[in-house]
Amino acid sequence: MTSWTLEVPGTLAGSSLEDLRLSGTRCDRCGRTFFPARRNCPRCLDDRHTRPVALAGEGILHSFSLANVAPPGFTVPHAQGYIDLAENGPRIFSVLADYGDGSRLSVGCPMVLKIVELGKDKDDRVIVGYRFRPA
Amino acid sequence: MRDTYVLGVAMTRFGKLLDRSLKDMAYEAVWDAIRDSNIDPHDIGIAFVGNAYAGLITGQESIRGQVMLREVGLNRIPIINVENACASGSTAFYLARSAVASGQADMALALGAEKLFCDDTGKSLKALATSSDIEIEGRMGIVFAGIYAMRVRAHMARYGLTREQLAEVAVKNHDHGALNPRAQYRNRVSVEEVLNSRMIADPITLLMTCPMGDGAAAAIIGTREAAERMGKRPVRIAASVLGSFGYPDKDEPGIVARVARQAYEAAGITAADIQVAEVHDAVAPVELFLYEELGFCGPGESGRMIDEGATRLGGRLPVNTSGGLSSRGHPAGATGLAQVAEIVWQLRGEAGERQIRPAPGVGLVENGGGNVAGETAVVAIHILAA
Repeated sequence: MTSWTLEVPGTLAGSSLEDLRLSGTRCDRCGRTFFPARRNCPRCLDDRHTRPVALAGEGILHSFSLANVAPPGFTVPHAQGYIDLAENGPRIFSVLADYGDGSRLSVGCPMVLKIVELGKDKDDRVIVGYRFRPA
Repeated sequence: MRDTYVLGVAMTRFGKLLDRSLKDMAYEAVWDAIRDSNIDPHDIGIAFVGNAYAGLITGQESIRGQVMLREVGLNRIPIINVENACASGSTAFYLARSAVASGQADMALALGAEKLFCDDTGKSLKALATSSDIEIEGRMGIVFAGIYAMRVRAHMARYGLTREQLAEVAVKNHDHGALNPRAQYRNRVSVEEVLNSRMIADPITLLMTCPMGDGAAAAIIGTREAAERMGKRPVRIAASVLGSFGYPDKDEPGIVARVARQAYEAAGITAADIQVAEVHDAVAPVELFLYEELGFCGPGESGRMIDEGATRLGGRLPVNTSGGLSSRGHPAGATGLAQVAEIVWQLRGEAGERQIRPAPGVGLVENGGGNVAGETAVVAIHILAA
């Protein structure tokens, strides 16, 4: 059992808390990469050519929004974005962080991964999640 | 598979209807549709009842359709509960049509009803939040207003759409809603008012969003013989297609374009043949994106369409003459059937002050719901022809 647990299953993996990377699944048959990690390729409907991969920790902001409404467990303002990951990675959803008043965010701006610690679970493991912040 | 026809259609007023129950609204919608159809209600052989959130709002789970139809009076026939988020009503229609087309029944009822308003807004918002994967996107912090805002922003960045153009869609839909006695909002708004209203998720302002709402709508589907007996212009279901999210590559069509392609092929027509459409403007500006996805114009040309008034009443392709979700309202389970009702009324010349003249011959309904893996979870498209 690791000393950490994930805010969202299948999103991060690594050998230690200091070494976590975004985790995805690559299908060698069709060449697609999916996030979060999953058991099979949903296009090929096949699990024989899939393997876990570490995804790039940076990308380009495809779109974003600063919302004045937040879902349960999050506070306003609530910034969301889709990031096109580098190294031909997938487009992934992320809550955004460290964006100040939002003026640093623009479609096409470079973003980097930020691992966040969100308290502990009932077994005293650190809950870790991912965010993206302007580079 | 035989041809199927929409017989009667009906809807209640949509709005914040705290003193109306699901049963009460279902009663009105179903009996109005039965009267409109000119049938013996005993001939209804099967019923599909769409509702998305009653379990969370009122607590009624598992037999919502049976409970509503108890009030209506229908009983003994197969009753199936249908849940597909904001596309529940269209899914009920899709299933009703399939039942008649296959010969499983000669006449089918599709009912959609929703009560989103209750004494606790937080409860309503929590219910809406269950339309994404609660283990993944839910925990990732998805909020629907933000999802639509992101889609609109990406569209603006790609094609240079302006905030004024976004606002014009809301203005158009409110102008149409003002002519609709059943619409939730009947006030007109100006571009300035829309742009100056409270920001919800930039660039989406309050007057661009669709309201929560209560309401019910129904359609009865039957054979050609039943359609001819009705004594009204027969409305044939030329296509009824349902599709789900599908992990498109960046250069592949998204769910709406993909399902639209299937629908046009099933109906043997192209987008150019559509003369009236009801589309899913969860926020008014997303309508521009939908014009392109549905093939009403080329990529990036939707700004020009709204500027030219092409999609207004009086334009070459009126869209959301009912007022759309923005103005007519959006009781999730009922919306798809309210969209069908508007198209049927337009085709029959029964759309009152909203009537397109001359009455159109081919109409399209596009209804979506939920969000999974970066896309809308479910999209239904129906094409009706008179």
